[in-house]
Amino acid sequence: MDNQTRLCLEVKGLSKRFGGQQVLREVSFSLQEGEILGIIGPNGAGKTTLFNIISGWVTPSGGEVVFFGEKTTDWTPDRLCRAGMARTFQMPQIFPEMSVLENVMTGAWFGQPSPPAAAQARAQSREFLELVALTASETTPARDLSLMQQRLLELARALATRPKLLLLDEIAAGLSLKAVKCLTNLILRLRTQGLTLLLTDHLLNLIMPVSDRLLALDQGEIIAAGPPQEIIHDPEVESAYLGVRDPAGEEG
Amino acid sequence: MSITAFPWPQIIVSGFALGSFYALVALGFSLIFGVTRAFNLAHGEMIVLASYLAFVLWKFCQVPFYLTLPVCLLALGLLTLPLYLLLRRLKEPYALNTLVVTFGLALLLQNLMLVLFSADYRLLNSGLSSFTIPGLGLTFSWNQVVLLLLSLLATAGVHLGLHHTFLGKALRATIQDQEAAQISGINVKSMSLIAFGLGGMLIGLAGPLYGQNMYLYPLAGAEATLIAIILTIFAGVGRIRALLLGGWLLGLMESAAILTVGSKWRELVSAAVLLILLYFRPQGISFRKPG
Amino acid sequence: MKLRPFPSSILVTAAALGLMVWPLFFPDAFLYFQVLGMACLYGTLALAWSIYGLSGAVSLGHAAFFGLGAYGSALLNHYWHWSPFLTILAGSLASVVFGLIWSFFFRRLRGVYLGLASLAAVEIPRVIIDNWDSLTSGSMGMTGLDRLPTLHLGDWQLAFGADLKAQYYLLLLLVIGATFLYKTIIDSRWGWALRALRENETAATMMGIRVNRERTKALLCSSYLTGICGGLYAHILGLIEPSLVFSLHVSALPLIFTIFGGRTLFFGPVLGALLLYPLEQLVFQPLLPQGHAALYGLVIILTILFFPKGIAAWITRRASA
Ligand SMILES: Nc1ncnc2c1ncn2[C@@H]1O[C@H](COP(=O)(O)OP(=O)(O)O)[C@@H](O)[C@H]1O
Ligand SMILES: [Mg+2]
Repeated sequence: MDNQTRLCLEVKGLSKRFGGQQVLREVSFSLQEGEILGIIGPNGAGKTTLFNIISGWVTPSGGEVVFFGEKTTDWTPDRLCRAGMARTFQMPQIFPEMSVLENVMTGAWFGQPSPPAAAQARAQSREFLELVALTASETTPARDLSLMQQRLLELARALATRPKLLLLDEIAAGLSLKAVKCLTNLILRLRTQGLTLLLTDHLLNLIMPVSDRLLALDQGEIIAAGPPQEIIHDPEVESAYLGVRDPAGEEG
Repeated sequence: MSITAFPWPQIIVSGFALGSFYALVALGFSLIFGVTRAFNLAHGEMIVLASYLAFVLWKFCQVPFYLTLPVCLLALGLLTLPLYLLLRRLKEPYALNTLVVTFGLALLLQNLMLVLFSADYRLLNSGLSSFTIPGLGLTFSWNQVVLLLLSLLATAGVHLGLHHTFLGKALRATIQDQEAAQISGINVKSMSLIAFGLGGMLIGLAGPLYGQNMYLYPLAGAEATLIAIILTIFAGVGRIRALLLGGWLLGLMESAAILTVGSKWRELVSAAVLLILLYFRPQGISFRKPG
Repeated sequence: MKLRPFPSSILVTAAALGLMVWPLFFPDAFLYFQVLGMACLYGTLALAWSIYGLSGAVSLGHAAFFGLGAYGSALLNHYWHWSPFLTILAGSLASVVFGLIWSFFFRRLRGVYLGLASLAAVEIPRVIIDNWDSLTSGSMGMTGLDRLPTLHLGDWQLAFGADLKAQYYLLLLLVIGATFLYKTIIDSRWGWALRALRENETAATMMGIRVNRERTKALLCSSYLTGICGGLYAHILGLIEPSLVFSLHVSALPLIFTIFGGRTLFFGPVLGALLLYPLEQLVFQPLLPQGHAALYGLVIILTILFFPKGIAAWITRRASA
């Protein structure tokens, strides 16, 4: 790989309306390869909608998404996955009747640009399960996992598609401090392998230590962008979190 | 159905009568589905069963037609009780399981009726004559008038009951949101039982009217089921006026189809209407409050 | 292949061998040849239905494919005098075309609403064929179709049309082939993709699976095999009518056999057909000459209530316990 880092993702002037509600307003930012960008914002700020547009689930009302130089605004999510974009959902999306290993194997078998043999996909899946340190046995049906375990499973499955860009939507919500610590280490380790990450959180415990840059979103608009320490002391961000419009601490 | 080509005013009037009856046909289905989320694919077969009951009473026991109505009403109201108990036992995915089970029930009822009443076509002839409105040149049968009046009466009754009685309000609350209804102290189980009972009574009312206006044979129920589903998807649940409107539209469409392309193609109308509705509304039946 | 034989595949192989061997001991059991032969045909139909079922769909309208396959073959035979096997293979393409139309118009429907749409979809080919008197002679049906041909192997003659035993072997071979095909699909990468999209479509899409394409492929395979069953049916009977092949009964059979036999195991659909159809024909038919299909209605209700995973799951659980 050359020294010159490439642009991984460019988001140019994204807007989205749902009926009469403007959920995103002219959102633009870009992401270098190997970078970790955190998006913060209160509930309803439009973080999930932004992810849905980037990953091809929702068509924007305006603007475009460029992924490694290609305009992907109208690509389908499965095509984006095979091109190297993976994501997790706020509510984990698992295959309930499949075992833990089978869940991850689905990612390894279908999500990679060139599909491996079944045995190889299975071997790779075990590696990823180890990487995320999921405590459940690999034969457990996924529906029997706790919410936290389902999140880790979804993460392992996303990694098994060998993404270049990984989008994590509120992956730390409801996790214990210890689990957040593990996840922090894991994410930092993934970065050393060249993965680019985009993550959201409306709390800050995971996103602060791992992000290179933060982007604060409020009511569909970027209100601040920059290094994490600067952003959280930004008065506008503070008022978005603590101010009258959206009382903080409603969730916890 | 015995309707052949008529002039246009006649089409409109008979479509209107037929459509009102369609609303009555859909009413029981819609009520049961709304409150319990159970798809009853045997709905039409139950109507046909009620028709046969009326037919037997009228033909072999010389019961006058009007007396068959309350008898069927009660009989079917009671007959839905076992159906309620059966469907209550089903597990997730509930809607799909009710669909499959009642599909089986439809098959069972069809064959039982075949055994009991044979495949012959029957008509419950209540001996009412036709009359002509002078000047307009329209001919009606008293059957049509009875059909129209009773259908409208039942539909209006259900509408008023849902909106102006305490029980009706509780039913509507359950239709819109089961959980919220439960939280606000409504016993959803007994609401389900009541919905099945009322739905059964409406089926019982529709039965004799069906037998009086259309030919009766064991497989006749499929079409009534289709009509009930179409109108429920069209209207959304718990919206009686929209149900009536849908019934009229469908009735007029069928009458018009008979006039323009002939009665052989009439069977296609309801199937095509259902497919078109589902194409534009793939999420199916809506539970929205009346807008 | 790392195929270690399961108890269930041993069981299935034994059953298949039994079905092949018994006629040697009862060479004149013509009624049984006929009934078991039809059971094999319906077993194939149930397998065809289950291929679509792998994508999570519960179709209440497979009679549409069955009827189109039957009419496709019958028309080719009637007008162009093609030989029956050729007509079946070519005529069933009518079912595939209908499958393509179905895939397009029903692409956004799931679960209950897909079931309802499939129920109504049967009416379209049925009413058209019923009314197209000049081509199909309408509700009178088509008669005088060629029976299945005779195969000459040296001195050996296999009269698939006239000899019920040869016909039985043909249909047995068909259902064994179809079972093998079904198992191959389930065990393949494609089968895995279908399972994934059946369990969670969002997650499957996120894993790079083209859900609409895989689902459509499943329906096309299913419709072609269903069409073949319809074509065979037409040439075995020698006559067809719209009300015979586009009936609720035909739509119900594969569903009932599959759910009764067991959806989760590869031999479930066939097991259901081989148990229920002979039961209906040999036991119920004499008892209730008019409404013997009531059995099917009853069976499906009891199955969903008491053993929703089907009898195959129940058997293997008993066998392994
Ligand atoms: N499919 C949708 N239809 C209508 N409104 C939506 C839809 N998805 C999201 N919204 C609205 O968009 C706003 C932003 O939601 P979301 O992106 O989920 O915010 P966040 O993830 O930051 O909490 C919310 O007000 C929500 O109600
Ligand atoms: Mg969100």
